[in-house]
Amino acid sequence: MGGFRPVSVLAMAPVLSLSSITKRFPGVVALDGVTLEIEAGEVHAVMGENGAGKSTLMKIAAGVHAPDAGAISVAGDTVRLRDAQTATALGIETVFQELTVLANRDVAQNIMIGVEPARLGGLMLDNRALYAQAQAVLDRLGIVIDAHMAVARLSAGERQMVEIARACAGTPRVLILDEPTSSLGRQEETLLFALIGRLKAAGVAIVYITHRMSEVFALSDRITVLRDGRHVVTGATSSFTRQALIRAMVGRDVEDRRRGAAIADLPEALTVRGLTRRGAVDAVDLTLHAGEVLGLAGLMGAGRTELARLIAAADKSDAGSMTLFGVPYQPGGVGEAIRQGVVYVSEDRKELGLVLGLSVADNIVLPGLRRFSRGGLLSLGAMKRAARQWMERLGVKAASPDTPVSTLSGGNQQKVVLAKWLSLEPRVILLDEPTRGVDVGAKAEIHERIRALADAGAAVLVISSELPEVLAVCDRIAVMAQGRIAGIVPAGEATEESLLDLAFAEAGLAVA
Amino acid sequence: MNADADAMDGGRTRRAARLLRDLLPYLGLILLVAYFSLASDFFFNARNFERLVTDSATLILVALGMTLVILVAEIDLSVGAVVALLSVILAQAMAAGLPWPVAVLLTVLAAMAIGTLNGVITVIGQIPSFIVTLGMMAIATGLAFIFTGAISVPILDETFLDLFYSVSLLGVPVPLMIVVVAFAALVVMLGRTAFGRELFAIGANIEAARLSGIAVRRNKIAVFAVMGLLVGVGAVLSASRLGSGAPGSSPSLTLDAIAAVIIGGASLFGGRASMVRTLLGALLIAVLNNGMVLLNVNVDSQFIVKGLIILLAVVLERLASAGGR
Repeated sequence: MGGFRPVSVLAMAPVLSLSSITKRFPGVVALDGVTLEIEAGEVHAVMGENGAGKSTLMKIAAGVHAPDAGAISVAGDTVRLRDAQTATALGIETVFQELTVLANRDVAQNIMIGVEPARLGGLMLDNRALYAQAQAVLDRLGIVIDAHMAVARLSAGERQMVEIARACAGTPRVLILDEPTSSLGRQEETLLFALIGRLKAAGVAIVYITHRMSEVFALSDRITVLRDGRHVVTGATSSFTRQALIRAMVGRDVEDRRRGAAIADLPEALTVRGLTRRGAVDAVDLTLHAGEVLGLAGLMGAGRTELARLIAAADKSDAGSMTLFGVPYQPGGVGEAIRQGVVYVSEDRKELGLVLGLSVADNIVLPGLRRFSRGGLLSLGAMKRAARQWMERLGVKAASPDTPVSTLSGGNQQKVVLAKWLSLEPRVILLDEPTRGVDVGAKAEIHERIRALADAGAAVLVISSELPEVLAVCDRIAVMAQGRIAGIVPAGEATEESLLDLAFAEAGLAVA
Repeated sequence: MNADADAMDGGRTRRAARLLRDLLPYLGLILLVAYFSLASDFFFNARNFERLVTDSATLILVALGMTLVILVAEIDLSVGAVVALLSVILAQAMAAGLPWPVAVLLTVLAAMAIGTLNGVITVIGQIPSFIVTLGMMAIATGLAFIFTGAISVPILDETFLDLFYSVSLLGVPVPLMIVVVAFAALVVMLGRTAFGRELFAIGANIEAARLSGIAVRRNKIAVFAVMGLLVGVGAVLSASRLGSGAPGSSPSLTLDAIAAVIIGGASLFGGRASMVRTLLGALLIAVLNNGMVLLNVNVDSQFIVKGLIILLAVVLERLASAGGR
């Protein structure tokens, strides 16, 4: 008490300081003398391509990894983060990119994990207090979720909000958010940004990792860029332009592409008439042309994924008909859809897109496995050659085709998912959030690949929650709302605002 | 440095457990053979080894089938009871005057029908195979006792008994020959056919497998049918060895077969299993059975020893994969 409060912010010690951190993993230097200082009450964006070292740095701050060299201090005191509990006790909370909510517990049990209120001197769990306290945390954060709800019934976005609530259940000094919006819908995103604003006003330092440029410029006060495990630059957000930031991350220029072909002249590849699945997709009519990229925009829960799954026969429709290049198309299952040249690339690469226990090669050849069968026996050599060829074509960075796919970075895993489906040479390809959780460099490559597919004559449907992506890659954009097509517009005439108007107008919501 | 050691600790336990799990079938087999060789004068000789393998031919076949079932994250608890029921059917068919090849064919077809039924109920009914095969176990046991009035049915056909037990083909006992052929066929099937490769994907991530266009349900039913085939052949060998069809003749077969697969390092959650390692696991159980008989360990204690080995294998498997999935 007493004495002078330091007037200048600069005079105060950073709330979290990582100095000259070096971390080696077998065969790679993940971080090479990286320094990061986080001030109280700032939103500090950490950017860089996949493999730049962002996640490793955050895991060190969270006490998950121990650095090989360097020092960590919290509010000026040098500390040793022995484990995640130590970091939490010091007020460093982390929401990792991989959701870690326990699906078989309810919301309150997840939020209060580790800080459960007890009765009878710790012998009994105080259930009433548990739900009351959890609900209080949710209310304080403005998250509209019932604490009694089973996590298994929440959407990916809602689970993310629960995870953030868990991190805020204590009183964090530093909140690390690792790609918090990658699974959020637009409404939840708005909620999250408001939440970040409130935490910031309360003096919480926020470390924000994302690949989305627009978020960085809207939210952050300062930006630190990492590349190949090294610190590139730290500066006020206002001192960066979009191009400068991309250049700092990638080390080269990346350009956006768009084209405006006369879509009506292209042959019809897939027509959908009155396609319906009760509670999800409501009498959808849609035409997809060979050679076009059709964007499918909309809010979370608008029925986009469900529509794609119906087309790919991953789910059964209740009504409607489809034709494929003029021929009636009624696949009885995914296998049949694939044989007819229609593939669906899921948004959830870890759960649905890949078999994490298998190698890169095994994942790539999985859907077309039977094509490698000669007289009942697989040609292992041909399988490996095909896998290697597709790895090269898509630039998958892995030691060998036999590397377990689970050890690859997010961007490389996504390339494996693409390789897996492109190797079937599909006529119609439905891509669900193809660049979620992928860095700018890989994102640009995937965008180019999508355009190349269409140029080669495939019909491509791209579901994306990132409007700039839809606008940049697609020829036409269909907007879905409440299971229906709210409108279809040429990309050249669309703006983010016009697309949002469509998405919200149909949903009966006012645009904020 | 110290912090590093702390952080690596969890990883070290896991790596140690993984190493032990991977070595368990080899190390266990070597240790058991060494121990029984020292403890009994009758263990380490060619005659005993031949008996050991022929005696356990049924176990090996059933364990190989169980490997497929566990690989796709299912289980079959009915095998012991079904082998007993099939041996009864076989003996009664011969007693009714059917020539032995017809009776054998009938038995194997019945086995495949039972296996397929297990698979169909599990897959179409979306009921855990644990429950389905538990029900099948009870039904098979009940039927075997009803068919026989709880009295074993002797097999008198000399050709049949000779063919499967005494006679050698190219100097190799017939049961051993059958085991070798089945093993080779299954290794090829699992590693070199689309069906086999797909089973790994189904076991590791069934939804991803389905979305990759794999006929998940058909493949699972096929696995149960193959299991049935192996159970059928195993039952024929068992009946010829015992010279009768006896209800309740294979009290520990289910336990032994599952133990063999688990000792072989398979994951009970599916996605990881190996025919070679299951074979080693089955041989380990076979050596254990044979050695304990030679040392006059009573039957009840044998169960305890096997139970402990299963628990050890399961604990190792959990430690080895904790956090890794």
